[in-house]
Amino acid sequence: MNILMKKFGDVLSSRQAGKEAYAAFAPTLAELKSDEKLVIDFDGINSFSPSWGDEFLTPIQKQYSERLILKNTANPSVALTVATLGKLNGKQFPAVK
Amino acid sequence: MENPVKKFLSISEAAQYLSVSEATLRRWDKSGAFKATFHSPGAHRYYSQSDLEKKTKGIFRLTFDWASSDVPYIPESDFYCSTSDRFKARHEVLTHAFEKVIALQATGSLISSAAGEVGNNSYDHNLGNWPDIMGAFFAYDLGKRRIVLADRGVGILATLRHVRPELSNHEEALRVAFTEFVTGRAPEHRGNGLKYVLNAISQAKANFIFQSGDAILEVKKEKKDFVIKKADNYIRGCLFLLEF
Repeated sequence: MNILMKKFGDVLSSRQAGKEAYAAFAPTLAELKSDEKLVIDFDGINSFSPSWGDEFLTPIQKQYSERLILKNTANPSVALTVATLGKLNGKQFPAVK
Repeated sequence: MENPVKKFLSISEAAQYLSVSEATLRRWDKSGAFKATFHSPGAHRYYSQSDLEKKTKGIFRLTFDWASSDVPYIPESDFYCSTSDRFKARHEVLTHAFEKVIALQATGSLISSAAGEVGNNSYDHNLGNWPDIMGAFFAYDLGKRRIVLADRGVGILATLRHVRPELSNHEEALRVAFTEFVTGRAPEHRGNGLKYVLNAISQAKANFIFQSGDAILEVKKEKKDFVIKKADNYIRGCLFLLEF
């Protein structure tokens, strides 16, 4: 399953919006098959911050850690936010360019 | 309440506000020295309150005056974001404005995300607890490459004391907020945005100051570390100036 982050907007900054995004996407996530990879694609993201990311990525990391892949993380705010959340959660996110 | 009717002044009102003649304003508009906010279909010039305030005071002074005033007041300015929705809308406008500035294309996302963290913190940590005026002041001047944010919330020390009751002063509180992984919203696992802000702005090679209470944290791009010192004036909430 691919999650295109830009479908939530290209400026992802508030905790409240991150929480709403996760709640809205949870039913789709529930359809992930047990052997299926989960790819989170940051293509087209302009600005990404840890408050939004913590509400969306942290619960996904907890639930799908081994199957999770982050893609197109070159945007500096995406790269730094992903690294910050990895440090905060005690587990880095696997990423491909 | 904010009165939208008063947001735009006619050229005669603007001239009176700035203590200049209407002819001077017309000349400034034509030369680009100080352009009218918009021209009506009848070619009349109109000036926004915020443009006039910026012209007279500069955005930092304007924000500082609001944040430090002993007498709370709701600013008649479109820099004022009473709710997080208003802040979100203005923050998106700023972020997209960065895309058009070639020199900021590499660092714009870091600057934008740092400003987003600081601004959203105002709402996240004060919702339902605003001591007087709710919301944040959010002004920016892309020409001078400055962003200013402020709130009249409870401040960093009061927020962190929920989880660090031993903190005794604002300087200690700022040091903890910018260096240690803690949360001001116990028992939730969150509240680490200011560490990100420090890293993002350092990576963007920009300057910033952050004041809460009587303490100021200062980061200069040519220095590797930050300094925390006593401020001349007290601000109960938070004040942030970013120069990029």
